Amino acid sequence: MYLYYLLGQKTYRRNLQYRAAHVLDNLGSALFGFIMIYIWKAVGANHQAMGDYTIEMLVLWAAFGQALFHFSVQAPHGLNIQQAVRNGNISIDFLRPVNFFLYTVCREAGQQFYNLIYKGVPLYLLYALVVGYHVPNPQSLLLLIPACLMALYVCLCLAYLVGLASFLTTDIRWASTLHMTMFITVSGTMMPTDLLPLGGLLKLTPWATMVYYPGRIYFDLNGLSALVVPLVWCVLLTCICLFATDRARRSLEVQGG
Amino acid sequence: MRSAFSVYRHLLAASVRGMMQYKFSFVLTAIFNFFVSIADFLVVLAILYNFRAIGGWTTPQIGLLYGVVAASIGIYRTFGSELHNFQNYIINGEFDGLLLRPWPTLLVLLSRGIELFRIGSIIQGYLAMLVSLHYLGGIDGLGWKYLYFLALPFMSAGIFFAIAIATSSLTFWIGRVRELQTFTIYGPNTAAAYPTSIYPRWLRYMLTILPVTFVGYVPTSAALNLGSPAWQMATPLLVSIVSLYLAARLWELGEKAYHSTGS
Repeated sequence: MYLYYLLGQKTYRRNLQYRAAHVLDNLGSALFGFIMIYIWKAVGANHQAMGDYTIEMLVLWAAFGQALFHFSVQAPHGLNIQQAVRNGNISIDFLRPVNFFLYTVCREAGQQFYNLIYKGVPLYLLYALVVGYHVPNPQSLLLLIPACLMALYVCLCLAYLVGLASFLTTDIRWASTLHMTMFITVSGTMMPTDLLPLGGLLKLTPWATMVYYPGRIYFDLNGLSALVVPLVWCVLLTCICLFATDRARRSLEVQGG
Repeated sequence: MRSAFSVYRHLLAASVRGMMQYKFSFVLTAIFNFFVSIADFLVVLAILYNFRAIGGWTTPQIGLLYGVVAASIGIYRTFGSELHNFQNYIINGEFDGLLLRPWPTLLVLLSRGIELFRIGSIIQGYLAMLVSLHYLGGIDGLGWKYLYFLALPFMSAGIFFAIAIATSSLTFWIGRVRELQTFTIYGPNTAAAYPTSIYPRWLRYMLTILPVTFVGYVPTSAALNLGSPAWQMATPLLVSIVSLYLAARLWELGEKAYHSTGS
Protein backbone atom coordinates (compact mmCIF):
# COMPACT_ATOMS: atom_id res chain seq x y z
CA MET A 1 0.00 0.00 0.00
CA TYR A 2 2.89 2.31 0.90
CA LEU A 3 4.26 1.77 -2.60
CA TYR A 4 1.07 3.15 -4.19
CA TYR A 5 1.18 6.12 -1.83
CA LEU A 6 4.78 6.79 -2.93
CA LEU A 7 3.76 6.67 -6.60
CA GLY A 8 1.11 9.33 -6.03
CA GLN A 9 3.47 11.42 -3.95
CA LYS A 10 6.11 11.34 -6.69
CA THR A 11 3.68 12.69 -9.29
CA TYR A 12 2.55 15.35 -6.83
CA ARG A 13 6.17 16.47 -6.26
CA ARG A 14 6.93 16.48 -9.98
CA ASN A 15 4.05 18.89 -10.54
CA LEU A 16 5.39 21.25 -7.89
CA GLN A 17 8.09 22.21 -10.42
CA TYR A 18 5.49 23.95 -12.59
CA ARG A 19 3.66 26.03 -10.01
CA ALA A 20 4.33 29.36 -11.75
CA ALA A 21 2.99 28.08 -15.08
CA HIS A 22 -0.09 26.74 -13.31
CA VAL A 23 -0.88 30.18 -11.89
CA LEU A 24 -1.44 31.33 -15.50
CA ASP A 25 -3.52 28.23 -16.17
CA ASN A 26 -5.62 29.10 -13.12
CA LEU A 27 -6.42 32.52 -14.57
CA GLY A 28 -7.70 30.87 -17.74
CA SER A 29 -9.63 28.25 -15.79
CA ALA A 30 -11.18 30.96 -13.62
CA LEU A 31 -12.69 32.46 -16.76
CA PHE A 32 -14.75 29.31 -17.44
CA GLY A 33 -16.32 29.55 -14.00
CA PHE A 34 -16.94 33.28 -14.35
CA ILE A 35 -18.76 32.71 -17.66
CA MET A 36 -21.30 30.40 -16.00
CA ILE A 37 -21.51 32.65 -12.94
CA TYR A 38 -22.43 35.68 -15.06
CA ILE A 39 -24.82 33.66 -17.23
CA TRP A 40 -26.69 32.70 -14.04
CA LYS A 41 -26.52 36.27 -12.76
CA ALA A 42 -28.00 37.53 -16.07
CA VAL A 43 -30.81 34.98 -15.73
CA GLY A 44 -31.26 35.98 -12.08
CA ALA A 45 -32.13 39.55 -13.10
CA ASN A 46 -35.63 38.34 -14.06
CA HIS A 47 -36.00 34.96 -12.36
CA GLN A 48 -35.67 33.53 -8.88
CA ALA A 49 -35.19 29.79 -9.28
CA MET A 50 -34.76 26.79 -11.58
CA GLY A 51 -36.09 23.46 -10.30
CA ASP A 52 -35.04 22.95 -6.67
CA TYR A 53 -32.28 25.52 -6.92
CA THR A 54 -32.39 29.27 -6.33
CA ILE A 55 -30.40 31.37 -8.83
CA GLU A 56 -28.11 32.44 -5.97
CA MET A 57 -27.37 28.78 -5.26
CA LEU A 58 -26.69 28.13 -8.97
CA VAL A 59 -24.16 30.98 -9.04
CA LEU A 60 -22.32 29.36 -6.12
CA TRP A 61 -22.74 25.94 -7.75
CA ALA A 62 -20.88 27.19 -10.86
CA ALA A 63 -18.02 28.33 -8.60
CA PHE A 64 -17.95 25.03 -6.68
CA GLY A 65 -18.14 23.00 -9.91
CA GLN A 66 -15.23 24.85 -11.50
CA ALA A 67 -13.10 24.52 -8.37
CA LEU A 68 -13.74 20.77 -8.21
CA PHE A 69 -13.30 20.32 -11.96
CA HIS A 70 -9.51 19.95 -11.90
CA PHE A 71 -9.65 17.42 -9.06
CA SER A 72 -12.49 15.09 -9.88
CA VAL A 73 -13.38 15.71 -13.53
CA GLN A 74 -10.38 16.40 -15.68
CA ALA A 75 -7.65 13.76 -15.59
CA PRO A 76 -4.83 13.42 -18.16
CA HIS A 77 -6.16 11.94 -21.43
CA GLY A 78 -6.12 8.16 -21.12
CA LEU A 79 -3.84 8.53 -18.07
CA ASN A 80 -0.98 8.54 -20.62
CA ILE A 81 -1.42 4.78 -21.23
CA GLN A 82 -1.69 5.40 -24.98
CA GLN A 83 1.85 6.83 -25.04
CA ALA A 84 3.22 3.76 -23.30
CA VAL A 85 1.43 1.54 -25.83
CA ARG A 86 2.76 3.55 -28.75
CA ASN A 87 6.40 3.64 -27.63
CA GLY A 88 6.43 0.09 -26.26
CA ASN A 89 6.99 0.99 -22.61
CA ILE A 90 3.74 -0.78 -21.80
CA SER A 91 5.59 -4.12 -21.83
CA ILE A 92 7.87 -2.82 -19.05
CA ASP A 93 4.88 -1.47 -17.14
CA PHE A 94 3.24 -4.89 -17.28
CA LEU A 95 6.44 -6.53 -16.02
CA ARG A 96 6.45 -4.46 -12.83
CA PRO A 97 5.58 -6.49 -9.71
CA VAL A 98 2.54 -4.33 -9.01
CA ASN A 99 -1.02 -4.31 -10.22
CA PHE A 100 -1.00 -2.21 -13.44
CA PHE A 101 -4.43 -0.71 -12.78
CA LEU A 102 -3.55 0.42 -9.25
CA TYR A 103 -0.09 1.51 -10.37
CA THR A 104 -1.55 3.80 -13.06
CA VAL A 105 -4.44 5.15 -10.99
CA CYS A 106 -2.28 5.92 -7.93
CA ARG A 107 0.41 7.54 -10.08
CA GLU A 108 -2.14 9.92 -11.63
CA ALA A 109 -3.96 10.51 -8.33
CA GLY A 110 -0.88 12.47 -7.19
CA GLN A 111 -1.48 14.96 -9.99
CA GLN A 112 -5.16 15.30 -9.09
CA PHE A 113 -4.30 16.10 -5.45
CA TYR A 114 -1.80 18.64 -6.68
CA ASN A 115 -4.59 20.13 -8.83
CA LEU A 116 -6.90 20.30 -5.83
CA ILE A 117 -4.39 22.22 -3.72
CA TYR A 118 -2.84 24.48 -6.36
CA LYS A 119 -5.81 24.92 -8.72
CA GLY A 120 -9.09 24.03 -7.00
CA VAL A 121 -8.54 25.83 -3.69
CA PRO A 122 -7.14 29.09 -5.20
CA LEU A 123 -10.00 29.14 -7.71
CA TYR A 124 -12.59 28.65 -4.99
CA LEU A 125 -11.05 31.43 -2.90
CA LEU A 126 -11.11 33.74 -5.92
CA TYR A 127 -14.78 32.98 -6.59
CA ALA A 128 -15.56 33.36 -2.88
CA LEU A 129 -14.11 36.87 -2.96
CA VAL A 130 -16.11 37.84 -6.06
CA VAL A 131 -19.47 36.09 -5.65
CA GLY A 132 -19.52 34.81 -2.07
CA TYR A 133 -19.56 31.28 -0.67
CA HIS A 134 -21.74 28.69 1.03
CA VAL A 135 -20.87 27.21 4.40
CA PRO A 136 -22.16 23.61 4.59
CA ASN A 137 -23.26 22.11 7.89
CA PRO A 138 -20.68 19.90 9.69
CA GLN A 139 -22.39 16.64 8.66
CA SER A 140 -22.29 17.65 4.99
CA LEU A 141 -18.68 18.68 5.33
CA LEU A 142 -17.86 15.23 6.68
CA LEU A 143 -19.74 13.49 3.84
CA LEU A 144 -18.08 15.72 1.27
CA ILE A 145 -14.71 13.99 1.81
CA PRO A 146 -15.79 10.46 0.73
CA ALA A 147 -17.97 12.00 -2.03
CA CYS A 148 -14.96 13.85 -3.49
CA LEU A 149 -12.66 10.83 -3.12
CA MET A 150 -15.17 8.59 -4.90
CA ALA A 151 -15.59 11.28 -7.58
CA LEU A 152 -11.83 11.24 -8.11
CA TYR A 153 -11.73 7.44 -8.26
CA VAL A 154 -14.54 7.26 -10.83
CA CYS A 155 -12.83 9.97 -12.89
CA LEU A 156 -9.54 8.04 -12.89
CA CYS A 157 -11.26 4.73 -13.71
CA LEU A 158 -13.04 6.25 -16.72
CA ALA A 159 -9.83 7.90 -17.95
CA TYR A 160 -8.07 4.54 -17.44
CA LEU A 161 -10.63 2.79 -19.66
CA VAL A 162 -10.11 5.50 -22.30
CA GLY A 163 -6.37 4.77 -22.11
CA LEU A 164 -6.94 1.03 -22.44
CA ALA A 165 -8.77 1.71 -25.73
CA SER A 166 -5.28 2.20 -27.19
CA PHE A 167 -4.94 -1.60 -27.14
CA LEU A 168 -7.75 -1.72 -29.71
CA THR A 169 -6.88 1.27 -31.91
CA THR A 170 -3.73 3.35 -32.34
CA ASP A 171 -5.58 6.63 -31.97
CA ILE A 172 -7.81 7.04 -28.90
CA ARG A 173 -8.85 10.65 -29.50
CA TRP A 174 -12.39 9.46 -30.31
CA ALA A 175 -12.73 7.70 -26.93
CA SER A 176 -11.21 10.67 -25.16
CA THR A 177 -13.56 13.07 -26.97
CA LEU A 178 -16.59 10.94 -26.12
CA HIS A 179 -15.56 10.91 -22.45
CA MET A 180 -14.96 14.68 -22.55
CA THR A 181 -18.39 15.34 -24.09
CA MET A 182 -20.02 13.38 -21.31
CA PHE A 183 -18.13 14.99 -18.45
CA ILE A 184 -18.66 18.53 -19.75
CA THR A 185 -22.39 17.98 -20.11
CA VAL A 186 -23.33 15.50 -17.42
CA SER A 187 -20.83 15.91 -14.57
CA GLY A 188 -22.65 18.91 -13.11
CA THR A 189 -19.69 21.29 -13.47
CA MET A 190 -21.76 23.95 -15.22
CA MET A 191 -25.18 23.23 -13.72
CA PRO A 192 -26.75 20.48 -11.59
CA THR A 193 -27.25 17.33 -13.68
CA ASP A 194 -30.90 16.95 -12.67
CA LEU A 195 -31.76 20.26 -14.37
CA LEU A 196 -30.71 18.90 -17.77
CA PRO A 197 -33.25 17.26 -20.09
CA LEU A 198 -33.38 13.55 -19.10
CA GLY A 199 -31.72 14.66 -15.85
CA GLY A 200 -33.38 11.84 -13.89
CA LEU A 201 -31.56 9.32 -16.05
CA LEU A 202 -28.29 11.26 -16.50
CA LYS A 203 -27.74 11.59 -12.76
CA LEU A 204 -27.37 7.81 -12.59
CA THR A 205 -24.41 7.80 -15.01
CA PRO A 206 -20.81 7.62 -13.70
CA TRP A 207 -20.06 11.14 -14.94
CA ALA A 208 -22.67 12.59 -12.56
CA THR A 209 -20.65 11.30 -9.59
CA MET A 210 -17.84 13.74 -10.45
CA VAL A 211 -19.50 17.00 -9.33
CA TYR A 212 -23.26 16.51 -9.08
CA TYR A 213 -23.31 14.33 -5.94
CA PRO A 214 -20.51 16.21 -4.11
CA GLY A 215 -22.44 19.40 -5.02
CA ARG A 216 -25.71 18.06 -3.61
CA ILE A 217 -23.89 17.25 -0.35
CA TYR A 218 -22.01 20.55 -0.25
CA PHE A 219 -25.24 22.55 -0.59
CA ASP A 220 -26.94 20.44 2.13
CA LEU A 221 -29.49 19.08 -0.37
CA ASN A 222 -28.67 15.41 0.31
CA GLY A 223 -27.12 13.39 3.09
CA LEU A 224 -25.75 9.87 3.10
CA SER A 225 -28.07 8.89 0.21
CA ALA A 226 -25.91 10.92 -2.19
CA LEU A 227 -23.09 8.41 -1.69
CA VAL A 228 -25.04 5.40 -2.98
CA VAL A 229 -24.72 6.00 -6.73
CA PRO A 230 -20.99 6.90 -6.51
CA LEU A 231 -20.32 3.81 -4.38
CA VAL A 232 -22.07 1.52 -6.87
CA TRP A 233 -20.02 3.02 -9.72
CA CYS A 234 -16.77 2.66 -7.75
CA VAL A 235 -17.39 -1.06 -7.32
CA LEU A 236 -18.62 -1.60 -10.89
CA LEU A 237 -15.77 0.35 -12.48
CA THR A 238 -13.15 -1.45 -10.37
CA CYS A 239 -14.43 -4.78 -11.70
CA ILE A 240 -14.58 -3.48 -15.28
CA CYS A 241 -11.07 -1.99 -15.09
CA LEU A 242 -9.54 -5.17 -13.63
CA PHE A 243 -11.28 -7.31 -16.25
CA ALA A 244 -10.24 -4.95 -19.09
CA THR A 245 -6.63 -4.91 -17.80
CA ASP A 246 -6.54 -8.69 -17.86
CA ARG A 247 -7.85 -8.74 -21.46
CA ALA A 248 -5.38 -6.05 -22.50
CA ARG A 249 -2.47 -8.00 -20.96
CA ARG A 250 -3.46 -11.09 -22.95
CA SER A 251 -3.79 -9.16 -26.21
CA LEU A 252 -0.40 -7.45 -25.87
CA GLU A 253 2.10 -8.30 -28.57
CA VAL A 254 5.69 -7.21 -28.02
CA GLN A 255 7.62 -6.74 -31.24
CA GLY A 256 11.34 -6.45 -31.68
CA GLY A 257 14.30 -8.27 -30.16
CA MET B 1 3.46 35.07 -52.63
CA ARG B 2 1.92 32.72 -55.20
CA SER B 3 4.73 30.21 -54.81
CA ALA B 4 4.38 30.39 -51.04
CA PHE B 5 0.72 29.42 -51.32
CA SER B 6 1.60 26.67 -53.77
CA VAL B 7 4.03 25.25 -51.21
CA TYR B 8 1.39 25.60 -48.50
CA ARG B 9 -1.09 23.69 -50.69
CA HIS B 10 1.38 20.84 -51.28
CA LEU B 11 2.37 20.59 -47.62
CA LEU B 12 -1.30 20.68 -46.67
CA ALA B 13 -2.09 17.82 -49.06
CA ALA B 14 0.78 15.78 -47.60
CA SER B 15 -0.49 16.43 -44.09
CA VAL B 16 -4.03 15.31 -45.03
CA ARG B 17 -2.70 12.16 -46.74
CA GLY B 18 -0.80 11.30 -43.56
CA MET B 19 -3.94 11.70 -41.48
CA MET B 20 -6.00 9.53 -43.82
CA GLN B 21 -3.77 6.54 -43.01
CA TYR B 22 -6.06 6.10 -39.98
CA LYS B 23 -9.48 6.48 -41.62
CA PHE B 24 -11.48 4.71 -38.90
CA SER B 25 -10.00 6.90 -36.22
CA PHE B 26 -10.47 10.01 -38.37
CA VAL B 27 -14.19 9.39 -38.93
CA LEU B 28 -14.89 8.54 -35.28
CA THR B 29 -12.91 11.53 -33.99
CA ALA B 30 -14.67 13.89 -36.42
CA ILE B 31 -18.07 12.65 -35.26
CA PHE B 32 -17.25 12.91 -31.57
CA ASN B 33 -15.61 16.30 -32.11
CA PHE B 34 -18.95 17.48 -33.45
CA PHE B 35 -20.57 16.50 -30.15
CA VAL B 36 -17.86 17.73 -27.77
CA SER B 37 -17.90 21.19 -29.26
CA ILE B 38 -21.65 21.44 -28.72
CA ALA B 39 -21.54 19.97 -25.19
CA ASP B 40 -21.19 23.21 -23.24
CA PHE B 41 -23.81 24.90 -25.42
CA LEU B 42 -26.28 22.11 -24.63
CA VAL B 43 -26.10 23.17 -21.00
CA VAL B 44 -26.83 26.79 -21.95
CA LEU B 45 -29.67 25.58 -24.21
CA ALA B 46 -31.16 23.91 -21.14
CA ILE B 47 -31.11 27.31 -19.39
CA LEU B 48 -32.60 29.03 -22.44
CA TYR B 49 -35.31 26.37 -22.65
CA ASN B 50 -36.43 27.42 -19.16
CA PHE B 51 -35.89 31.18 -19.31
CA ARG B 52 -36.17 32.01 -23.07
CA ALA B 53 -33.47 34.73 -22.87
CA ILE B 54 -30.14 35.61 -21.27
CA GLY B 55 -29.26 39.26 -20.77
CA GLY B 56 -31.98 40.38 -23.22
CA TRP B 57 -30.74 38.08 -26.02
CA THR B 58 -33.27 35.51 -27.21
CA THR B 59 -32.48 31.85 -27.92
CA PRO B 60 -31.98 32.30 -31.73
CA GLN B 61 -29.79 35.37 -31.19
CA ILE B 62 -27.56 33.54 -28.71
CA GLY B 63 -27.58 30.47 -30.99
CA LEU B 64 -26.36 32.62 -33.86
CA LEU B 65 -23.63 34.23 -31.74
CA TYR B 66 -22.58 30.82 -30.47
CA GLY B 67 -22.53 29.39 -34.02
CA VAL B 68 -20.34 32.19 -35.38
CA VAL B 69 -17.80 31.80 -32.56
CA ALA B 70 -17.84 27.97 -32.74
CA ALA B 71 -17.27 27.96 -36.51
CA SER B 72 -14.50 30.59 -36.21
CA ILE B 73 -12.57 28.71 -33.52
CA GLY B 74 -13.22 25.50 -35.48
CA ILE B 75 -11.47 26.99 -38.53
CA TYR B 76 -8.53 28.02 -36.38
CA ARG B 77 -8.27 24.66 -34.59
CA THR B 78 -8.47 22.78 -37.91
CA PHE B 79 -5.85 24.75 -39.81
CA GLY B 80 -3.76 26.24 -37.00
CA SER B 81 -3.40 23.23 -34.72
CA GLU B 82 0.39 23.24 -34.88
CA LEU B 83 0.43 26.71 -33.32
CA HIS B 84 -1.22 25.08 -30.31
CA ASN B 85 1.73 22.68 -30.00
CA PHE B 86 4.44 25.18 -30.88
CA GLN B 87 6.13 25.10 -27.46
CA ASN B 88 7.25 21.51 -28.24
CA TYR B 89 9.36 22.85 -31.13
CA ILE B 90 11.27 25.12 -28.77
CA ILE B 91 11.52 22.69 -25.85
CA ASN B 92 12.69 19.79 -28.07
CA GLY B 93 14.92 21.97 -30.24
CA GLU B 94 12.90 21.17 -33.38
CA PHE B 95 12.56 24.79 -34.42
CA ASP B 96 16.02 24.63 -36.00
CA GLY B 97 14.54 22.24 -38.56
CA LEU B 98 11.95 24.84 -39.56
CA LEU B 99 14.63 27.51 -39.93
CA LEU B 100 16.49 25.34 -42.44
CA ARG B 101 13.51 25.37 -44.84
CA PRO B 102 13.58 28.00 -47.59
CA TRP B 103 10.12 29.26 -46.55
CA PRO B 104 8.80 31.48 -43.77
CA THR B 105 8.66 29.42 -40.58
CA LEU B 106 5.07 30.43 -39.92
CA LEU B 107 4.01 29.12 -43.33
CA VAL B 108 5.71 25.75 -42.79
CA LEU B 109 4.27 25.52 -39.28
CA LEU B 110 0.72 26.23 -40.44
CA SER B 111 0.94 23.56 -43.12
CA ARG B 112 1.81 20.88 -40.56
CA GLY B 113 -0.52 18.83 -38.42
CA ILE B 114 -3.78 19.91 -40.04
CA GLU B 115 -6.51 18.46 -37.82
CA LEU B 116 -9.24 17.83 -40.37
CA PHE B 117 -11.23 15.83 -37.83
CA ARG B 118 -12.04 19.17 -36.19
CA ILE B 119 -14.18 19.95 -39.23
CA GLY B 120 -16.99 18.51 -37.06
CA SER B 121 -16.88 21.64 -34.90
CA ILE B 122 -17.07 23.90 -37.99
CA ILE B 123 -20.10 21.97 -39.25
CA GLN B 124 -21.66 22.14 -35.80
CA GLY B 125 -21.13 25.93 -35.67
CA TYR B 126 -22.70 26.38 -39.09
CA LEU B 127 -25.63 24.13 -38.15
CA ALA B 128 -26.30 26.27 -35.07
CA MET B 129 -26.10 29.38 -37.28
CA LEU B 130 -28.46 28.01 -39.95
CA VAL B 131 -31.08 26.95 -37.41
CA SER B 132 -30.82 30.31 -35.62
CA LEU B 133 -30.94 32.28 -38.89
CA HIS B 134 -34.09 30.39 -39.80
CA TYR B 135 -35.78 31.54 -36.57
CA LEU B 136 -34.51 35.09 -37.10
CA GLY B 137 -36.35 35.39 -40.41
CA GLY B 138 -34.25 33.35 -42.83
CA ILE B 139 -32.98 34.76 -46.10
CA ASP B 140 -36.28 36.55 -46.76
CA GLY B 141 -36.24 38.44 -43.49
CA LEU B 142 -32.50 39.12 -43.26
CA GLY B 143 -31.67 39.68 -46.95
CA TRP B 144 -27.96 40.25 -47.61
CA LYS B 145 -27.21 39.99 -43.91
CA TYR B 146 -27.94 36.27 -44.21
CA LEU B 147 -24.92 35.90 -46.50
CA TYR B 148 -22.92 38.21 -44.25
CA PHE B 149 -23.45 35.84 -41.32
CA LEU B 150 -22.42 32.84 -43.42
CA ALA B 151 -19.14 34.60 -44.34
CA LEU B 152 -18.57 35.96 -40.81
CA PRO B 153 -16.67 32.94 -39.35
CA PHE B 154 -14.07 33.20 -42.12
CA MET B 155 -13.56 36.91 -41.38
CA SER B 156 -13.45 36.35 -37.62
CA ALA B 157 -11.18 33.28 -37.66
CA GLY B 158 -8.27 35.64 -38.40
CA ILE B 159 -8.63 37.02 -34.88
CA PHE B 160 -8.08 33.57 -33.35
CA PHE B 161 -5.10 32.96 -35.66
CA ALA B 162 -3.63 36.31 -34.59
CA ILE B 163 -4.08 35.57 -30.88
CA ALA B 164 -2.57 32.10 -31.35
CA ILE B 165 0.43 33.44 -33.29
CA ALA B 166 1.02 36.17 -30.70
CA THR B 167 0.77 33.66 -27.83
CA SER B 168 3.07 31.18 -29.60
CA SER B 169 5.57 33.99 -30.29
CA LEU B 170 6.04 34.37 -26.56
CA THR B 171 7.50 30.85 -26.55
CA PHE B 172 10.71 32.32 -27.99
CA TRP B 173 11.21 34.20 -24.74
CA ILE B 174 9.46 32.20 -22.02
CA GLY B 175 9.65 28.61 -23.32
CA ARG B 176 6.25 27.29 -22.19
CA VAL B 177 2.92 28.82 -23.25
CA ARG B 178 0.47 25.90 -22.96
CA GLU B 179 -1.01 27.34 -19.77
CA LEU B 180 -1.09 30.84 -21.24
CA GLN B 181 -3.20 29.53 -24.13
CA THR B 182 -6.02 28.73 -21.71
CA PHE B 183 -5.99 32.38 -20.69
CA THR B 184 -5.59 33.95 -24.13
CA ILE B 185 -7.54 31.59 -26.42
CA TYR B 186 -9.73 28.93 -24.84
CA GLY B 187 -11.22 30.88 -21.93
CA PRO B 188 -11.91 33.99 -24.05
CA ASN B 189 -13.28 31.81 -26.87
CA THR B 190 -15.87 30.33 -24.51
CA ALA B 191 -16.67 33.77 -23.08
CA ALA B 192 -17.11 35.21 -26.61
CA ALA B 193 -19.87 32.69 -27.37
CA TYR B 194 -22.28 34.58 -25.10
CA PRO B 195 -23.34 38.25 -25.15
CA THR B 196 -20.46 40.35 -23.81
CA SER B 197 -23.06 42.66 -22.22
CA ILE B 198 -23.80 40.11 -19.46
CA TYR B 199 -20.23 40.31 -18.14
CA PRO B 200 -18.88 42.86 -15.64
CA ARG B 201 -16.78 45.75 -16.88
CA TRP B 202 -13.34 44.15 -16.18
CA LEU B 203 -14.25 41.10 -18.28
CA ARG B 204 -15.69 43.23 -21.09
CA TYR B 205 -12.42 45.21 -21.24
CA MET B 206 -10.43 42.00 -21.30
CA LEU B 207 -12.47 40.53 -24.16
CA THR B 208 -12.07 43.79 -26.10
CA ILE B 209 -8.30 43.94 -25.66
CA LEU B 210 -7.78 40.28 -26.56
CA PRO B 211 -10.02 41.03 -28.88
CA VAL B 212 -12.51 38.15 -29.10
CA THR B 213 -15.57 40.34 -28.60
CA PHE B 214 -15.17 41.29 -32.30
CA VAL B 215 -15.44 37.64 -33.35
CA GLY B 216 -19.18 37.38 -32.79
CA TYR B 217 -20.76 39.78 -30.30
CA VAL B 218 -20.01 43.13 -31.97
CA PRO B 219 -20.86 42.10 -35.58
CA THR B 220 -23.96 40.11 -34.54
CA SER B 221 -25.16 42.96 -32.36
CA ALA B 222 -24.60 45.42 -35.25
CA ALA B 223 -26.24 43.23 -37.91
CA LEU B 224 -29.30 42.44 -35.78
CA ASN B 225 -29.66 46.05 -34.54
CA LEU B 226 -29.14 45.06 -30.92
CA GLY B 227 -27.30 48.19 -29.86
CA SER B 228 -24.14 48.43 -31.96
CA PRO B 229 -23.99 50.79 -35.00
CA ALA B 230 -24.12 49.16 -38.46
CA TRP B 231 -20.55 50.10 -39.42
CA GLN B 232 -19.29 47.74 -36.73
CA MET B 233 -20.24 44.86 -39.00
CA ALA B 234 -16.87 45.55 -40.65
CA THR B 235 -14.91 45.18 -37.41
CA PRO B 236 -14.19 41.41 -37.63
CA LEU B 237 -12.35 41.88 -40.92
CA LEU B 238 -10.55 45.05 -39.81
CA VAL B 239 -9.55 43.64 -36.43
CA SER B 240 -8.41 40.39 -38.11
CA ILE B 241 -6.13 42.25 -40.53
CA VAL B 242 -4.63 44.57 -37.91
CA SER B 243 -4.17 41.84 -35.29
CA LEU B 244 -2.66 39.41 -37.83
CA TYR B 245 -0.19 42.09 -38.91
CA LEU B 246 0.82 42.83 -35.31
CA ALA B 247 1.07 39.11 -34.47
CA ALA B 248 3.30 38.49 -37.51
CA ARG B 249 5.61 41.34 -36.40
CA LEU B 250 5.81 39.82 -32.91
CA TRP B 251 6.64 36.44 -34.45
CA GLU B 252 9.50 38.04 -36.43
CA LEU B 253 10.84 39.64 -33.26
CA GLY B 254 10.65 36.28 -31.52
CA GLU B 255 12.54 34.58 -34.34
CA LYS B 256 15.32 37.14 -34.01
CA ALA B 257 15.50 36.51 -30.27
CA TYR B 258 15.65 32.71 -30.77
CA HIS B 259 18.92 30.95 -30.13
CA SER B 260 19.41 27.33 -31.05
CA THR B 261 19.60 24.57 -28.46
CA GLY B 262 22.02 22.40 -30.45
CA SER B 263 25.81 22.41 -30.72
